[in-house]
Amino acid sequence: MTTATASSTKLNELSLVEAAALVQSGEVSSVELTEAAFAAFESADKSVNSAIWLEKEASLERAAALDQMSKAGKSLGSLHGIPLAHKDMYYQAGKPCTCGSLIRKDFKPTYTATVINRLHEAGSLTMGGLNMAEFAQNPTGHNRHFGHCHNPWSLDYCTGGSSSGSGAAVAARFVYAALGSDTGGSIRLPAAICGVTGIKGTQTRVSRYGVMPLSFSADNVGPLARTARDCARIMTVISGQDPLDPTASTEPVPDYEAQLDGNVQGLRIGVPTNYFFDDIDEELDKAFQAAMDVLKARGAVIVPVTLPYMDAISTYGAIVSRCEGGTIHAQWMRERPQDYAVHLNARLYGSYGIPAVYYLEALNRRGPILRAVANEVFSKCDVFATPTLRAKTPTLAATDIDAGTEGAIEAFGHVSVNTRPINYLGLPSVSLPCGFDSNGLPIGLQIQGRPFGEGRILKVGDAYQQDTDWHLRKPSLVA
Amino acid sequence: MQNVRMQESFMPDVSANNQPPIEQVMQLTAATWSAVEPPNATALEMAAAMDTVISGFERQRGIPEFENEPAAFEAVLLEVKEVLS
Repeated sequence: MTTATASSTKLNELSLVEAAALVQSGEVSSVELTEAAFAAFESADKSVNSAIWLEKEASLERAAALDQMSKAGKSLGSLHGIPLAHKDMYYQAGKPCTCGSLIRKDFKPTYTATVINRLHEAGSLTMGGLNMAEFAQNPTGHNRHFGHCHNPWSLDYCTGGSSSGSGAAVAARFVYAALGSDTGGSIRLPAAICGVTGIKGTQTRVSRYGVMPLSFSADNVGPLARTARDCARIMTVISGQDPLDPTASTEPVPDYEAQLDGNVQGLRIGVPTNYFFDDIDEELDKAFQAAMDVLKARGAVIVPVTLPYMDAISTYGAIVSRCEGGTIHAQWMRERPQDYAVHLNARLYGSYGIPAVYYLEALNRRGPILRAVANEVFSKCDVFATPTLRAKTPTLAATDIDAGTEGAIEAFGHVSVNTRPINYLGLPSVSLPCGFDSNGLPIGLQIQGRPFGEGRILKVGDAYQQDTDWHLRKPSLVA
Repeated sequence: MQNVRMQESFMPDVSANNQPPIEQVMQLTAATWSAVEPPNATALEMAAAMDTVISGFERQRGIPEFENEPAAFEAVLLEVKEVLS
């Protein structure tokens, strides 16, 4: 872990953990951090378009109140004084929550999501709502209603989605961290493509109360941040049982940050021999192999593993979220289909032709397939690693289905080919930056562990980040 | 009850050579069961691609071992969870 001082580093370039330490020590105030964050948005978000709405006055009032507490010797918790902004699908009573859609453009929930309450109870403040794919349903970051979110590394390129604004705002150093959501890769894809760190926990690890639903079986809440350590801190705050969400696990929540000891000596990292490297881009493959070399040099052992049932996982995983999304959106698809983007209503439409027996087959097989993966893979390794994407990041134009771009549907679908199976399996998964492609776009490394093994995958990520500086690099637009 | 065999004249011809395109099947199903109409041509293009999903399910036929006992995915998450030493 690096240490920083307020004088040596621009405030918005600190990691979350570094910023929190400076607030804790009294060297920096929450108001200063919050003003720096708004200044960063004001300086560069016109070109990135990562925010849908921001509320400066209320944020600064909350920051001032937190500073008053600090002066009185009180701290709310591990995020005291930290300004955050989140994907615009987390309910806050009386605040906008567009879900990136025209349909919910004026929606203001009457209650607040459990995860937002937990982040506030730990001392953070919420600056506003970040851009996202409409109803969290695309892997690229296109949004016709609020404008596409642009990659801070190169504005013509996708950010990845659906948590597009979360990935872009963290990469552009507007915020220290942001919640995203992940149903088929929507945290890990923007993390990989924007060059930040993002984790989805085990299915059921984090409460989804007050979170816009997409798929009951596959939705996950999680953070995107600069480092694995930042993610560990947020996961410790937001994870755990919730009486308001009966699907949230009652498994105890460890202090994930305390598990980041850098020791991967003897740790077995599985590298799949099937599926995840099919037709992979050569540059992405090289970056992945180099990342494995870094971990090997730290004492990890690389072992080949074969994931069973990948054909079934791909087939089944493709329809679970689709059918559940179609169920949620059925009434709007009958009454106002024209209010969706073309790529979304077209995708939703297909769900109404899938027989229920197929959907139930996919759900029924999920447990036995997970058990088979655990028996065959986790008997040989402690975690397994893959590239987050198999192809270089596409441009926004090349994946613009609404514009009728030739080949866009295929390119669009290919983006999530390595992330979607992990959601079907329900495994915890983190994506870390591990290099840059020849277009100057970040490359992602994806690490999976056993269910409730968030601490272990974050530990591997943190160890990797101790020996590399990909996560410290910043786009040129950062002032 | 007498076992009545459906007369051939009532049976639609669904032989391989006479099946309607998948997008038409999808269109009929979506309209009949959900009252959802195709919102645009892209929807029908994507519906046509559902034949890859169907072939995916065809490949799984005979393979799945279904859970006979009451079970849940969440139970398997706990069964195979990380145990810290």
